[in-house]
Amino acid sequence: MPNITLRSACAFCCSLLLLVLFATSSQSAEGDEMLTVSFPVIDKPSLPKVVFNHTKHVNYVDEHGSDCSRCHRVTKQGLSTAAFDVRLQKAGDQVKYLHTACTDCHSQSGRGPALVQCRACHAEAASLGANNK
Amino acid sequence: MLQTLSGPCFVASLLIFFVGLLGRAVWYVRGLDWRLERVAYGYHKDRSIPGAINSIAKWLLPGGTAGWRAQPVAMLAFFLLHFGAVLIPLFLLGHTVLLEQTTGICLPSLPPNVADILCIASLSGIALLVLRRLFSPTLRQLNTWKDWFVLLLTFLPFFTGLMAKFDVNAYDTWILLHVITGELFLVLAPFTKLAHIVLFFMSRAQLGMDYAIKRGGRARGGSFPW
Repeated sequence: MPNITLRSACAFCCSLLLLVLFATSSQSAEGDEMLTVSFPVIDKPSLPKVVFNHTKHVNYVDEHGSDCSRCHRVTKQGLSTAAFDVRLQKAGDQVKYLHTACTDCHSQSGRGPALVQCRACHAEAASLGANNK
Repeated sequence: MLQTLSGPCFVASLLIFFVGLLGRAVWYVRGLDWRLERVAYGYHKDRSIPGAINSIAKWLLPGGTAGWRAQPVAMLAFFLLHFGAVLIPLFLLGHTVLLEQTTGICLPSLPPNVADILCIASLSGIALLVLRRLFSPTLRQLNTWKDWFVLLLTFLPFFTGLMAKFDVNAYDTWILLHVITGELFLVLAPFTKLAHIVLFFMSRAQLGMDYAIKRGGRARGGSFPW
């Protein structure tokens, strides 16, 4: 019986070690235009601000026969910097709206982070606490 | 792959989890003896219901029963693990966002640093339970691979979730592992000792009722937390 315990404990530890070794580092983009989502303004953010690779998005819509209007709306002041119709949403619904708008497109195109990959987008370094205004 | 795993596969594993655990609960009631148990529990509702509630409630409180007080280390390990095991899956910020996006149900979420502390407490609880399994003479006689497997199954979602937060360079890998191990937990829960998620309540309720009705239950006032 002690042998079984010992073997099981070893198997337990080995599987943990394999797990840690399996995790590898991810890729980064160089020279691309990285933008921070600044609307809506969140008073006390629980997660870092959203940063995304604008160049990749522009390239994607170009390649798929679309243009800026895929994400940006034309207003009287020109092209809106905010994504989709987020400014038209009620204040309490804006975050939910953006989660849906971004991840639906990612899901349909089969590219980009899924909704479960929170920190793939919420990745702006040191934005927590510093920009709480 | 992550889209499929976190979409249809997640819904399927939730279904297996809930339907499976419901099945275990139904199976438990059907396994009760008609004459010795079910008739008595139904007939003496004035004592069976308080007995059931009392037994469940006191076993959910640290030190609530003589059984807990007699084994303080096991109690510490148990509660360290279970506070996080109940609160984190339901109320972690990322989880509540997913729940709201997929079902529209909006739950309050834990502050991230509280969730981190709960997660580390749960991992410490698991570590203590591993040590207890290794060193307790009684458990050494009872250990099987299934006990280790259940501990591993519980450990992995906590560990991969925590690593996803702190090892940002490998975030995508940790999240993928987190989704896989979380779903593995959900799918296997009804078929392993993890079924105690529902069977704890079933067996505590039954024992509470049983001892409140029979075995001198009337004399004790019907709610002694056995």
